Amino acid sequence: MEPSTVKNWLTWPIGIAIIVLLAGLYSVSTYNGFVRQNETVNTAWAQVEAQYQRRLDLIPNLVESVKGIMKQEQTVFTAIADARTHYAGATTPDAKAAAATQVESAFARLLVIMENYPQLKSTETVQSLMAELAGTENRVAVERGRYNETVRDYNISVKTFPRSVIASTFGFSPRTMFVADVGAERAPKVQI
Amino acid sequence: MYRAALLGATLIFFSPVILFAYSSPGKPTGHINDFAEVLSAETKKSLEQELVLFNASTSNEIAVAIVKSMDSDYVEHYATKLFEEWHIGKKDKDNGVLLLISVQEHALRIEVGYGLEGALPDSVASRILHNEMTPRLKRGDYDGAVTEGARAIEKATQGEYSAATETVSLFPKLSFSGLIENGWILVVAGIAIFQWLAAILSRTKSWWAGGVLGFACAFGINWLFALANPLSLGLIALMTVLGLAFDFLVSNSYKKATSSGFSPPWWTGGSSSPFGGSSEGSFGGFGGGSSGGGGASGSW
Repeated sequence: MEPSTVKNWLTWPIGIAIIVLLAGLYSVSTYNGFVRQNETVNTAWAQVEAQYQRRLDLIPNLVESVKGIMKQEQTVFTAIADARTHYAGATTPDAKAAAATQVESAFARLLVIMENYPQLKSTETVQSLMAELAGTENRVAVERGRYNETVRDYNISVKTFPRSVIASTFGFSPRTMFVADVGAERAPKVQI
Repeated sequence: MYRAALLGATLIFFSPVILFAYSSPGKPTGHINDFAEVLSAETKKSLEQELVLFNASTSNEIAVAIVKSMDSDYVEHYATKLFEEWHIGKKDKDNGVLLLISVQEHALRIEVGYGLEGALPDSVASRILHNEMTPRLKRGDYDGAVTEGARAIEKATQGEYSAATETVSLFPKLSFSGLIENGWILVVAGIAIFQWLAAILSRTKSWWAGGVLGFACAFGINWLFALANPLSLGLIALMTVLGLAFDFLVSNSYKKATSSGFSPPWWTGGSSSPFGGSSEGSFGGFGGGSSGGGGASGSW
């Protein structure tokens, strides 16, 4: 047999085998990249939830220590209690985010009303709790921002070609960012 | 006029971005970074020594940054970003604290790394700011404020960690999964290696060199991934056969090509040493810690 004939019937299978091998490697590595990025987003969300929980644990302490003096402000305390119950009942990230916003607005109202009670600020317990809450509000803002960054990276990966083909094949869909109100990326001011 | 209007429109359009724009003050030159030049030379020197010693005994990293202005950024955001950039604290402990003062805005903040949030809770950080620092800053006493602030942070955090002996590896760990993840690098490298091997094998007169190479590659892959199953034997057989066929093909095409004057490159130039001379200052930077917005802010 002439060498050139051998070459002709071997070139195509070997070429195709190499291309298939490289495409397979690329798919596997892209898939693994998606899994990793998806987990990063989950971790970032867990951090946000941890800070929500921290805030929820702190608020009752503050409420307890100011209740005695702020006797006629029952509506705001009820609103806070309702919002907390909502959050406890929320299961999906979207529902939790919505409930957390409710907690935020109720709590912001309490802070405004507290301005009318200057005698509260001289209490050391209230001062400490306010400092912790201020720190927590800032933590929530930071972790939310970081969550959005990881979602952005993940979504860019999932949506850009040619990775989008692999993403749709294996069911990696874009995830939702945390859409805050304008200016809400800055934590609310807690006056101490 | 038109230009001003255009600029105004652009500013409004991008205002959320511009509003919270963080601009780095620069790299840290030590524990004390006085970009605004408000501290006296003695304070800088003695406090630097104190913080270096504190780091040596507790492994906690306290960084002080005094900037002239934050350029329309706000202190919480600026502190978090600066912490991210400098990576204050040890990587596995996140035991860093940043004491930030911005002179123009009269703003200050203690940003606490994740690992020290227990030892230095927000209420303690807030108390340090309000009791130790703001009264002195109101009098313009930057030296006293920074010294007392740093000492209070030391006192709060000294019990948390001890300076354990850390294993320092000479060679950075190669992350193989990271390499795999970047699929394009593999594809490009694959093509380059393919061309290079083709160039060499086509020149050798032997038809068996490719088989040996395939065998060696398969053996190397088995060793690298610690494969020890029937699959690895199959891989060796497959790659040996593929190598033989590959050599056969390229040798044939090379014979043809030489007659038409085409000559592939024999060698792709010399290799450059990865161990270049690094310009290392006296301060090697912080340890890679991170923070999550914990701490307290204040103003004077």
